Amino acid sequence: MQTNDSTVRLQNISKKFGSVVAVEDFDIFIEPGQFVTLLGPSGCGKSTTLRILGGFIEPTEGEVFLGDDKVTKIPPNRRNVNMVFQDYALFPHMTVSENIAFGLEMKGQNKAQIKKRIDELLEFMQLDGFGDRKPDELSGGQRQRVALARALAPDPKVLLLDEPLGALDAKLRKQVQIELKTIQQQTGKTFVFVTHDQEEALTMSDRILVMNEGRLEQDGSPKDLYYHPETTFVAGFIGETNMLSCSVKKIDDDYVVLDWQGNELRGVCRSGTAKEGQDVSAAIRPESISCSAKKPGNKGVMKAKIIHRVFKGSFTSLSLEVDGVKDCILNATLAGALAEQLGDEEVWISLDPDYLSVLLR
Amino acid sequence: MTRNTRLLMSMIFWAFIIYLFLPLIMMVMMGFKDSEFIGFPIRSWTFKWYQVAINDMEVLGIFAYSMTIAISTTILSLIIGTWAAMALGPTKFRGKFILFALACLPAVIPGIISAISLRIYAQSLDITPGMWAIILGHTVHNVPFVTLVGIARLNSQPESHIDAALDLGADNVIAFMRITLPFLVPSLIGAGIFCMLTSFDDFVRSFFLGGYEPTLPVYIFSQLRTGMSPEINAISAIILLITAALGLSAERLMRRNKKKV
Ligand SMILES: Nc1ncnc2c1ncn2[C@@H]1O[C@H](COP(=O)(O)OP(=O)(O)OP(=O)(O)O)[C@@H](O)[C@H]1O
Ligand SMILES: [Mg+2]
Repeated sequence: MQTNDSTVRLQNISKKFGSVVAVEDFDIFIEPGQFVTLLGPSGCGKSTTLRILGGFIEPTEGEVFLGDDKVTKIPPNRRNVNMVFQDYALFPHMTVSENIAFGLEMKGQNKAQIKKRIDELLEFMQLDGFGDRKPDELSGGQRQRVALARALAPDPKVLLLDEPLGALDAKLRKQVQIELKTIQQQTGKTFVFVTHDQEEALTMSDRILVMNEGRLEQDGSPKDLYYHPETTFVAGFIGETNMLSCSVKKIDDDYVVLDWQGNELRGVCRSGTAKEGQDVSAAIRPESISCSAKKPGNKGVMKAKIIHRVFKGSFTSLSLEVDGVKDCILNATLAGALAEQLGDEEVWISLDPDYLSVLLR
Repeated sequence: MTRNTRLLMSMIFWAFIIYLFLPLIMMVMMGFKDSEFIGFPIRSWTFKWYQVAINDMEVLGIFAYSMTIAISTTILSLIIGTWAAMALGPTKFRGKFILFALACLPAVIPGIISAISLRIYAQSLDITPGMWAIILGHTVHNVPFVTLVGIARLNSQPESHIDAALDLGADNVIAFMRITLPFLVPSLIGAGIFCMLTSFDDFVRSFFLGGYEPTLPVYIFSQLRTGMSPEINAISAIILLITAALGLSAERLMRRNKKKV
């Protein structure tokens, strides 16, 4: 673990509000220059964690480090991190330039320095010509950019963003997601971003921390989380997934062999060691199920019936009933052309063992 | 609504308006009467009472005295009221409700009772009846209005504004001066005009707490009892004009900033 002055460490953080536990035993280390997202459902403690980082909330237990400095008790005005608020919190009586200047004035910079920095940021944020407007004379997207410019102005080590895209409409949101990611890459700053939107998290992040009920569920890259969820919560929260109730038959060299109502499946277990005979869940994405009209030669194929077929343009979604399996409809997606070659009823399916996640909880 | 009820409603409304304004109209009319005595009939008209009023050094002195009291009261009330609003505003603490009720009490205590108690209090503090005693009395009466208006405005300020100021490096004092205070200003202007008007207009407190020098309402009242001339009406008409203009602009200011938030 290499620390430099813009690494972030939350060490065994807990926060209780009276009897409500908002964050529990949260322990992470963030390397500089990463786009890290806190993802989780409403009320899971994302904002609380972020506000602990920003200095607005003191944790009940644990320590916060910025670089090598312990900042647990340092108030927000003396921390070298800045925050973009969900409602942007632009000062309504100040112009765009005055808003951006605020943090610079607090740092004691002189007029010329401040002006230079404002011009630089206005250009960088494509806000040229808007410097003299008041916040209520701007569109939602422009306000969002001003909030970002204001937070970036004092050149913080880490930028915290609490659902900053929540107030934008769906189309603008998609565009701003890309912009934000670009800005992060150009500035090379650490961004800690909060959202409850899994798609947004997958689009933007280098690393996602999934939270649930105040705890860290899983920590990994978007691909890791998508293809190799470690808990049923993560598998269910991110993307669409098929959840299969199985029991462990035996542990192979490479795979865990599962029994699924008489069918033999293979999968990977990353969240611990599975024991023989244990009941587990297995998760697999719809696109990791392959279908073919003729019985392929390899092992582990199952016969299934197509009970529903929805054409969605670039892909076709199939609902499958596997022979001999009760109470479970599998969802599979196939690229358009492939689906056309299938018959109307019978298909042979196989589940890719590398993308079948064995979940212990 | 049928046509008849609508007619009835509008008649009642106009009757109310006439009842409200007739005394005022009569008062203003008397100011233009060319005679030493107030009362009908008015045979000839004149502007002379306005000239007399404007050139009456005694009245001008009293007007200045009342204005001094009103302005001092306003400044004090705004400072204390804003401070109380900050203390009672967004933060939560135990016993807040009791403190809030105590802070509002002076506004609802009957004027005569607070006037007497203030008189006794001032005496026990060795404050002689006069300007400072009146300012003290008016301030006690006005602070709750400023506090209430201030709290209402503070509650409509998003918490994130202060958080953002702190986040950008401001301490609590700078955050208050540069973010909260400008946010409060429109409400404080409205509350300030209200304070000026109530102080200028107040009779009971000024009467009980005053010394030999009367405020304008007290002076007008004393003139009523001794021989009174239409000069009083001219003075009253001028005051009516000024206060109405001030009051209406205060009301507009308060309404506008409510719409903006
Ligand atoms: N000041 C507070 N006092 C009491 N409880 C609080 C306070 N702030 C947060 N909580 C509780 O802590 C938990 C976590 O809150 P937090 O705001 O961190 O959630 P969140 O993940 O940001 O949710 P959302 O997506 O809705 O913003 C919630 O159960 C919330 O009710
Ligand atoms: Mg939140």
